[in-house]
Amino acid sequence: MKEEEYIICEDQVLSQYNTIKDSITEDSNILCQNIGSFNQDILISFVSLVEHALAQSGEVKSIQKRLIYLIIECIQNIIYHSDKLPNDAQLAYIIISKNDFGYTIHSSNVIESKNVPALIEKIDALLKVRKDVLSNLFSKKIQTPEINQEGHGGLGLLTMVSKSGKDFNYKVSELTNNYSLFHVEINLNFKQFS
Amino acid sequence: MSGINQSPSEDGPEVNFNKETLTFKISGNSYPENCEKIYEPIKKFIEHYSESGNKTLNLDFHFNLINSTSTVYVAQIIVRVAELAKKGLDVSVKWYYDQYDEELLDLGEKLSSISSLVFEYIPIVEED
Repeated sequence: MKEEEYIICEDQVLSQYNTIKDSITEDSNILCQNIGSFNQDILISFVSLVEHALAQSGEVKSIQKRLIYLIIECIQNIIYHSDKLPNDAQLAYIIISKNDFGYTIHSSNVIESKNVPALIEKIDALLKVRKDVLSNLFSKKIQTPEINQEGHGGLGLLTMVSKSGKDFNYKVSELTNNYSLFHVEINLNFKQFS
Repeated sequence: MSGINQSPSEDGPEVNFNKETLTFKISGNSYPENCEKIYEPIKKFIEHYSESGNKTLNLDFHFNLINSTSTVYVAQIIVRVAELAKKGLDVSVKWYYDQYDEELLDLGEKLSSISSLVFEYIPIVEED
């Protein structure tokens, strides 16, 4: 990525990050947020911070677990699937907030625009099917478990869609001719647990 | 075989094989950056397990948090163990889970279903 293209991307990602933060109303709390590069150490810190915050607030254990699982998959998706910049950093952000209805995860990362159609096709296919079909799909995948060349199981998106109870929304915004921002919003509604 | 043991970390599980009880245990968090480093040695250990002459294998899974890639590796291990069971290895599987962690229980049930191995499910009840 050329330096000027990176600057355009950075400006737009920062702008979208701030727009989302501003849209989070006053009756919501931001539990945790990060913008810039992500790595395993940041993931470990996130898990620890969120676990602590949820325990302190006396959150229902099943919700705590589900939220942490989703955070792990979102951040590892950023780490593994963001397109790397020349300095090996990612351009991404995550915001985790809570309101009266539940928790929301906003997770965004820059990807090469050429990869967008395949990604959209994959997600739309998952969103189309019923929850029980998703569950069967997961069972099928682990029946012939394969690790890809990058050392990953390839079940991240399926896990995210499935654990979100299908309250999974995504958006792809073009940043430049070559790069786009892949944004995911997952809502973990308290109603799912009642 | 004792070389298979691994110490736990914040994101990686503890791996332990007890030669006396023939119990192989994986416990703790499993969402490491490099699952391959943890799970490939386990897969090799399982593949060569019967060569040691052991007729029994007790598997204990006691995860706290597990990511999707670790899940795939655990599935690979379970599939291999099921193959050994078909060849006569006496296998028992204990699947521990936090009583509130429905996802982990569900994962155990799926792994049992795909492998036809009978799992014993043990909920961990937190004391007040």
